[in-house]
Amino acid sequence: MNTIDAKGLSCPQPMLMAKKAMQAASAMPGGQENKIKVLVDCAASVENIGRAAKQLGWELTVLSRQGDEAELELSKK
Amino acid sequence: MIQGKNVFASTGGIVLVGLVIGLIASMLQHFGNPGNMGICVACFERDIAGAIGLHRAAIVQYLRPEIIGLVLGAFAASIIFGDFRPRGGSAPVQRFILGMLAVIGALVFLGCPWRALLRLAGGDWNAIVGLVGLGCGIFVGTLFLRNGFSLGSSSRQNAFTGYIFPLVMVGLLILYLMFPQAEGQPQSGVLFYSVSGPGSMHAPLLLSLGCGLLIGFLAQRSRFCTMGALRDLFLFRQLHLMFGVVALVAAAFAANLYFGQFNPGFLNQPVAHNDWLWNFSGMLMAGLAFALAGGCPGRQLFMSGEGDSDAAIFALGMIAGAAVSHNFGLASSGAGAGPNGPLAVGIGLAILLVIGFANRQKA
Repeated sequence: MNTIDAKGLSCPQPMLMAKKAMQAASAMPGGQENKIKVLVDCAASVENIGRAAKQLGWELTVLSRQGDEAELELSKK
Repeated sequence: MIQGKNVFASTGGIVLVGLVIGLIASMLQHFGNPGNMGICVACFERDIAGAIGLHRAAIVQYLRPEIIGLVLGAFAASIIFGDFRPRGGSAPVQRFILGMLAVIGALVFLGCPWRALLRLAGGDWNAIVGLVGLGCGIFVGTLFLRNGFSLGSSSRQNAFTGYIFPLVMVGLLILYLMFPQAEGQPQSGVLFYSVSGPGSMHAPLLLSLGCGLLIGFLAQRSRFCTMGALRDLFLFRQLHLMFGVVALVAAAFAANLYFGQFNPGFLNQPVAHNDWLWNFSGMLMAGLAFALAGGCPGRQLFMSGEGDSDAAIFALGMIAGAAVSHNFGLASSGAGAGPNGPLAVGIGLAILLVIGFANRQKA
């Protein structure tokens, strides 16, 4: 699974990285890349990536949250 | 700490915050703040620079309690809801310069993005030119972002690092209380107070401070940002933050009608000039600086309240830049651009392009 580490970065960069990865995965044939893991450490980024995912037809799940750091999973609907 | 879903991150939440800012700004003007300047982060940081004597432009010196409130309100919200995150170390000196350039551009137009919206809501059509400039500047910023522009990661700092900027604000409030304005006097202890001009026009202390606190609290929760509204539109075709911006203008417009503060036209607008070229170029420069730094002046204050030292350095850069702006004759006045304003915009835009190109990181 593709993992994006956006820790320490502030928006819009985590959002841009997540969006690029989702678009790249959607363009791949066969639907093998339908899950992406994203690491962020800012609550605003979680909200922003959630909105970007919804826009592109993906779903965001928060896998774990420890203090500031969150592990997110984006999956294609 | 309260964890869980953030209701203010919803569309309803951002609209509510925009409405509250618009209403409060119009009301603060009614209670004494300058025309179409119920709240202006750039102007108020400039007034603070004057109050502590960093510049001696006698008509724009007042220690604006709204700014103190914005930071402390955001600080309180971030502590209560677990968003307080002491961090820093992402290109601090570049951010200081970006803050300086942002305010120099904003003072050529005469207002930050919030004030541009408030001027529009008050019928000052020159604001439209400024907003177009702002949009163009932010658009150029998004081109840099698309091509890998990044000021680099910040890292976690100790809690005290995050407390510093809010503590500076507490210090300013203590100064205000120790040396309150004396009727008709230009100085009280170490603080300067305008006796005429925009700096002499202000709402009462507690009202200004309280409104600042409320806006800071709500805006921290909702991530309200005027630059972000346009950036997200260009970059992601997203309207989320834009709903807040539209709500701000609508609320301020309605409240201005109610208070009799709506005066449509291009000429004789309060604290504004009618020079199209410099209204546009000033905001072009400011917009690019905000986009590269990742937030409008208001948002930078809220993030600095959340413990973000990089945002605090941007805000300090704005205060320093405002002082330079007045000391060097860069700021505009009602008569038009300052004697050295056009040159400053040219040099400023060049520096911003250099910063934009120099920080491209290839993935």
